[in-house]
Amino acid sequence: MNGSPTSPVSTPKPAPLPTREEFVAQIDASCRVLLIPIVAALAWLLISSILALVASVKLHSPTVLANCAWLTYGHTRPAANDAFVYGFASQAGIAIALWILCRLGRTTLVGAVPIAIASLFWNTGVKIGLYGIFTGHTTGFEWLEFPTAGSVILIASYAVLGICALLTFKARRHAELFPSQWYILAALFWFPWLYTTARLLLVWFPVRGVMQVAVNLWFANGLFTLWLSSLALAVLFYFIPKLANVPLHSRSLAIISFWTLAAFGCWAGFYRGLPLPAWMVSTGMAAAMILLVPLIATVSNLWLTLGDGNANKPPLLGFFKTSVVFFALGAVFAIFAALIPQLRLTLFGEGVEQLTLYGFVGLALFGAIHYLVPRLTGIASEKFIGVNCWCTFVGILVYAGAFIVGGMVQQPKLINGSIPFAEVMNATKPFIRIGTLGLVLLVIGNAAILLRVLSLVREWCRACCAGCCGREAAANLKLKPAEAAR
Amino acid sequence: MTKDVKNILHDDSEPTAGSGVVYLPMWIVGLLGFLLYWGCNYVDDRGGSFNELVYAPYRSTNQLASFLPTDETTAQLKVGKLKYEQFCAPCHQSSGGGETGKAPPLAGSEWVTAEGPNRIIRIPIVGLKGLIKAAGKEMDLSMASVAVAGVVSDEELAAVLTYIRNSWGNKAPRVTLEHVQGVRKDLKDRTDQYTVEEILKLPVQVP
Amino acid sequence: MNFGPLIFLGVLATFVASWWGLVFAPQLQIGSQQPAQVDAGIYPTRRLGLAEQGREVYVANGCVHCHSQQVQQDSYTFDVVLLSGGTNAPDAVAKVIERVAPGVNAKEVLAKASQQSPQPLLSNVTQTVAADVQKALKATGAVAQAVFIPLGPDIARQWGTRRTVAADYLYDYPVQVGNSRLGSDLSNVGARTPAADWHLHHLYNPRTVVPGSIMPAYQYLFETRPVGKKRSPQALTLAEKFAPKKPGVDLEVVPTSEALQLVAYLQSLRVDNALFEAPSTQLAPPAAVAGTNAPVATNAPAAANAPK
Repeated sequence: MNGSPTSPVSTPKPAPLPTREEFVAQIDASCRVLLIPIVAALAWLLISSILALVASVKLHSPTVLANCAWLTYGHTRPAANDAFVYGFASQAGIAIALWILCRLGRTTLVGAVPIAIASLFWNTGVKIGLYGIFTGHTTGFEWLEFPTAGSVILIASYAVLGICALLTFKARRHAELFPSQWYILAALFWFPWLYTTARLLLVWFPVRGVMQVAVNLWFANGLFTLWLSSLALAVLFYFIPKLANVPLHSRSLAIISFWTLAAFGCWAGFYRGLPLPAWMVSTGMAAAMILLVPLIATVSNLWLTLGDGNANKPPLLGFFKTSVVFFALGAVFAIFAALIPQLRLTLFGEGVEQLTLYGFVGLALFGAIHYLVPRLTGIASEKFIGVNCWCTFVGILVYAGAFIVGGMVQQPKLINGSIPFAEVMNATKPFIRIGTLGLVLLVIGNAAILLRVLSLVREWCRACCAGCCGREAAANLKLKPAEAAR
Repeated sequence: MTKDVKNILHDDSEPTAGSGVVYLPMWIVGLLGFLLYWGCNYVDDRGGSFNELVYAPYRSTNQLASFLPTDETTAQLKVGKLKYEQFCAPCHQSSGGGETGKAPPLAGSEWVTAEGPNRIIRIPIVGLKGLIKAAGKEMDLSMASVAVAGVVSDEELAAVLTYIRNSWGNKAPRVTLEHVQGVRKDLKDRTDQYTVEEILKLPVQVP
Repeated sequence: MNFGPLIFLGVLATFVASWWGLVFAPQLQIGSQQPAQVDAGIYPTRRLGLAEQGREVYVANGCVHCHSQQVQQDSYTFDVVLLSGGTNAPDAVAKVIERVAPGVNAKEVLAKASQQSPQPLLSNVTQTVAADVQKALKATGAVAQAVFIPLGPDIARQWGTRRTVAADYLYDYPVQVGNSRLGSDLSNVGARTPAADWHLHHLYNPRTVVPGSIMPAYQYLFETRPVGKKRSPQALTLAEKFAPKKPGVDLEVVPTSEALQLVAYLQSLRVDNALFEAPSTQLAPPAAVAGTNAPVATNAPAAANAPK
């Protein structure tokens, strides 16, 4: 190693830094604790997809395992949803956000031990929450089903994670902010307010009557548009220019997309036909249309960035390119769901939800994890990336596609009052069956990424233990030959 | 695709967004402006004036009120009050108490609350003069014909009379359009006022 | 320039704006809404006893993920009905009827109106047309009435007689409007299928009453036990292929208290009245028609309702 590394303390005029690779290696080494939330998140992802598979099977074959209360659709569906959002997406999103903050700030992670403890508590909170759902102690509000015990633990863990993120941000040595940092900062502020406000107004000091619907939908929309989308967009804005090896196409487009998302994102969420006063519903629908602006700004910015780059692009970029496409599709379909009568209530609504969750947020996070974990562990390996990529991509096309098409078939039947409902219900069955096939692929894909990360971690632990007698051996980790077959 | 180990772990530099002059792409600003304009129009059109009682597909509380089943009497009272204020209140007062030297009281007047409205329909059509006793007061006055055919329609007269028969503590059956039409036909050719003695000879029920 | 605090302020401002607009302002408007006075008393009334417990069973089992509880309405229209022919010469009245309602056999309608009121005159017209017809007929002495009719697929399916509004959910906690119609809407299920027996069979195995249903079988809400001395009066009557079998033992299926609570809750779900903000099909009290003491009949919505 050439040069001596400086201690990672924030100073206005830093001492001469080590080489680029060494510096980056230091940052990544400090982020190793993020493996805890990442592995946990991927485990929850697998559990969530298995629960979703069970739920889907229950829909077209309701007599399977009928006697088990825990496995009915009414329990498995919310459990799968919450496990995905809180167990996987939020946790992995926070972990990757922390790493991006470190990299963009050119600083090491602050508070590794509190982060580790907070992650463990976060998982306890999710476990308690899911147990509550299965045993019937659900709050009854969508995306907020965790009983109080689980949610309080989540809030407390988040507080620790959020503070560490803020401290890491404050310790940055590179003054200029990149769009990813805006999105991460904003998301880190939005989530606790959304979550605690929703719990306050729905569970602890509940508002009356249909106001609960308003708060619930405001929260659900905020969760998707402000929290998950912001994390995923931060990932996309970071990785696309980085892997394509070009600067971001337009900074001003990024500014516009960020501020229009912030200004109008939380106003959408009400769809046509709700039992809310007309002004609230029409405001929500108008806001949903205005969200076309951040959508077009973001997609054009990222797409043009991809176009700017040279021909030699790493294949990992495929994850992020596909994520952008699903982001665009999901947002456009969501506008349809808000405006067309009763479309939101058909399979279409759920299909769009899953398209956004898996196709946009999921793929972005997967790409980031595939990039990140080898660097955290120091093991160079491309094992299972292909399986994960293709299973997820095809799986989401089949699953969400079946539901979206099914919804488009169901909707004209649903709004025709002379068609008996039994016929409408029967029309959904073939699409749900196809959806189950898509979910099988998703389960395989999720298992693949979990196995990949676990094997990388295992290799790292093995190498670590093997070289535990000498730090020099550990320092040579980077050059350990890749093990997977090409 | 290169599978070199170093390539997998070798980092590109962190992404940049280009600094310097920030130019604003006009097409996106234009789109935002257009969508904001559209959005405002949309909410204005379907927002029901931000009234919490208005739900789609209804447009206003006025519209909702117009759907309410109204019985004839309620409709008449509304119109009657309006026309009373316009034509009668200058003399008989809004409170129906009348004014000494100007007009006898209508509130609590046995003329107004009589079983049938025959007499009180005739009074505004052709007028009345003489010494009148009403609600314990006595006045010697002359009332001109107010409900001239072109000025006050039959419906409006029926409404006003229903109004005075059901206000200020009065309670009496409503006056219908048929009542007024029948009396007006009867009085087609008459131009001079009734005297109190003459009108007291007429029955209270409309013939 | 340190953009960190600027971003924080901007994010705070936009977020608070949305909270203000979508949570606080509506809370001021409808947050303290009280039950309204309607003809039948006050609406809504609290659920009591079994129905309230059943609501908790409904929430705990996650029924909201398939069943919605929101009646939607597309539009509305008016019908005109003849309440009475009046006392005028029937020919004169018939002439007017023929002019305003061309498709109707005027003499027949008049004849029928004297025996059975109301008689349909016009269907699916605008409010202005209905008012004009009403006025025209009033001039002849006949009594016609405009009838308000809400339209929509939900209403055609009898999922409610009108759209649901804030007043319907006043005493619900948590409000289960749902956002998925894999199963039918349940706002009016208490009026649509009031029989407890149907619900019990539907819960035990939906395929017994709705062939091809995708709803799960909630068999854990029931107890399958051997028949005692006598068959329990609460036992479900199941067809051969749905009944549980055990060699040599006579089995019966009896609902547990949870099932009975859930059924009581379902029976309590009704949206079949009229509110100011959600008018429903209703007939005004007729103008004072001399001599008639006939009670006001309300038009049955289902037959007259053709969704647009």
